[in-house]
Amino acid sequence: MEEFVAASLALLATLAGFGLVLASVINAEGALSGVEYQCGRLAYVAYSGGYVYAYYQGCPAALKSGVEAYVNGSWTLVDRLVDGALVRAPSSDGRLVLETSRGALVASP
Amino acid sequence: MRAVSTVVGLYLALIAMVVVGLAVAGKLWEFSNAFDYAASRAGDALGEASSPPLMTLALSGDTLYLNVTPLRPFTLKYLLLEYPNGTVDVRELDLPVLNSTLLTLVRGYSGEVFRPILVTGNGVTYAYTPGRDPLLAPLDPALAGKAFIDQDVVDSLRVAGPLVWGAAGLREVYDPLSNSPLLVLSGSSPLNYTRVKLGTELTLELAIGGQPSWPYACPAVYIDYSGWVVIPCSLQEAGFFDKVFYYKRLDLGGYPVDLYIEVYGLSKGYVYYWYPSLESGTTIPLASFYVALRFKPVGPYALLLNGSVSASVRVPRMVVSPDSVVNALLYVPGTNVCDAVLNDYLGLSALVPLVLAPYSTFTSNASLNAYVVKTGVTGGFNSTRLYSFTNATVISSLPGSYFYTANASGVFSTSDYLVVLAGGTYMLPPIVGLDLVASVAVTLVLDTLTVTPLNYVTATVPESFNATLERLVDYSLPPLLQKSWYTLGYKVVSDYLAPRALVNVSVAGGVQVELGYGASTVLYAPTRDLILLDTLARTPVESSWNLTCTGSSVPSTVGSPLYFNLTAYAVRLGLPAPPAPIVLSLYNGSATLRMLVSPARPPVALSYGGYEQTLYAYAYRGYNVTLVNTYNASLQALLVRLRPLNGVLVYDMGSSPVLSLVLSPGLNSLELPAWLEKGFYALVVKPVDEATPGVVSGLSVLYVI
Repeated sequence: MEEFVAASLALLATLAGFGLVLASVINAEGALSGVEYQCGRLAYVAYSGGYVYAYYQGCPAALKSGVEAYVNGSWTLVDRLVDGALVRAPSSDGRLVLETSRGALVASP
Repeated sequence: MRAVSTVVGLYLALIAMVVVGLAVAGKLWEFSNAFDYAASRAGDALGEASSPPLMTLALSGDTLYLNVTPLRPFTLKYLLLEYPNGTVDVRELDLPVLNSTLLTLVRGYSGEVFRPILVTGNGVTYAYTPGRDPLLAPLDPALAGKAFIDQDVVDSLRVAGPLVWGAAGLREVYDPLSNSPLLVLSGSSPLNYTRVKLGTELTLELAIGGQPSWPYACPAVYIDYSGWVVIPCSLQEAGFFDKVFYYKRLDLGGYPVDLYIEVYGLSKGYVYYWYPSLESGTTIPLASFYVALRFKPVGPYALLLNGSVSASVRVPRMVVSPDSVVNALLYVPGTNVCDAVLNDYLGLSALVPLVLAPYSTFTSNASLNAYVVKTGVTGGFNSTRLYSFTNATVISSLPGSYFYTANASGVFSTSDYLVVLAGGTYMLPPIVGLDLVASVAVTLVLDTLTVTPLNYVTATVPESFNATLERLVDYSLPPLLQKSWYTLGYKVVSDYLAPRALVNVSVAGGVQVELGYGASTVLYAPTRDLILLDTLARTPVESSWNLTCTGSSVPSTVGSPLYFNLTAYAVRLGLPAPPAPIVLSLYNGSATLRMLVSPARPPVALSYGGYEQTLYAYAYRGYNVTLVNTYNASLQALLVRLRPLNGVLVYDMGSSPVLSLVLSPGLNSLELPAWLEKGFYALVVKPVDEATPGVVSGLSVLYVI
């Protein structure tokens, strides 16, 4: 009985240790400076006329709310970011925050 | 049982640990990849952010350009024009910026305040600010705090034009050779030159057979008794085969220029050597090479190619003395090379470099035009041509330096410049025995190419008009005396000729006399030009010539009219000057009849986008001109007044066009307004399309009468 308890405790301790490592890795991914998320980034371009202009680089990402993107010569509301997109959104503080299915993207001066 | 449960428990624990371990490892792998990817992209962005391009503002007429010279290549995704009121104009370009690129910002600038912002493919932004313009800001300290382009900046650019001209900047100049546009951006350094490291070495191995034989029966080159180098037949036919080729794209002060260096080797060729007499003809094997430097496009630049040429020669059973290696300087102008060759050869030098004069000194206008065309495809000259090197002159040089202009002074149908910087012809001692083969290795070591623009751009006035006096002129008095021969004294008075102008006058239709029997008789029908007036040294000038006609049994022509046609043509002006309407005065010793020979009025035909550009130098105010647009798009045509300066025509980049037109594809007939001032104009034609990257334009010089 004592061995069983000891083995169970050892197993629990091992699992907890792995869990801690995994959690820290996932946390590091999310917090990787300048990357924001693993396959896309939003680069600040300009803040003019109450709009923040930003450039998206990375893999396609679905947006939780629409944003204006420059498509074929005009600003069009889109719900998906693609590589090379120039987007703009009203902002009062010069920051642009886009909520995507992969997390939040932030562009700020 | 206990043992069993312990074993099972341990196995379960082991399996759980393995599963969890794999999951962690997988996650770590994914994390590693994501990190690498992100770090790579971030590295690209960081590299771009730390190497912003040089951005300078340029003005041509009222069109503003941004010249972007990348320090590292990038993809220009968007060009944004930001206005102070919050408006942002976006242009999606997706343009690889590998070399200097000219972006059209605003056509017809009228005081807008704005700032261009470039967005790269990695999301890096570059904003142009006039206060940090490397060319403009140092010339006008008042621009130091400027963040936006405004009227002050443009005025400053306009005023600083001449300074920028001298120091560095964008030029749109007239290319007298090809009628093609030139954008000349000089170096940004204070010394105003650009040095390009070439760092290359080319070696051409030639094997030269003994005696020439068919199909090399045509000598590649021979030097005749008067010291002329004669290229009598196709060099390809003569064995002008081998070739090594070097290409590099250069950045001349921010403007990309393609450099081609072509080294042609003449293998199996020979020279036929007529010196000192025709009878002393000797056949000598020959190895030859040429270093050709081709620019497209380039302005009147001074060029200096630093490097060395060496030729290593091996001839079986023969000692080549004093050394088997000969070094030749690249580009030695101003030398009577023929004499040098002959003298050296007569001095029994084993190897004699024949340094060709630069292309510009060829006396034949068509010289290397044929060379360009032919060598681009099959190689070689295709007809007999004479080249005199005794006129090898340096067109221009900078004091105390080795810089020489290398632009040609001919008229070429190609838009390429081909400048022969150096050539070497190595004449070998006669090889005895058909089985012997000499080998020559010509090695070029190219170190640097230095390019410097001239202080100003010169434009020679193109060929002038054909002036035809089409109608018959009634010349009835005084009577001609009856005799078997007579002389008509013609006197030409040309009112507007500039110094050194040359006039060719010919009689096209002959001189006819109606003899009073009802039928006219041709007394003299010349088939060639009658006269080429000597250099005319003053304005106005007079010259005269005699036309001697012969006839037999010419009866009295008292009271009979004399009919003739005169054609005056080809007035070539050495310096920019108004055209030369010629006043002809007919004079026989006692009476004079003055006539104004009016130039014909050809349409101005600017064939743009095609292979040829036909230029007629004259256009008349108040008359229709025809502009031919062969480009498959509408073009904008601007008429910009040219400024004569020290005998040359200068296109000031700050000049506003006096006339702006839009030409649709095809023929365009339009009337030049009568209020235009008489003088020289540049007719600039360029695409209307704003998004056209770079500048593609055509430019012709017109004289508006």
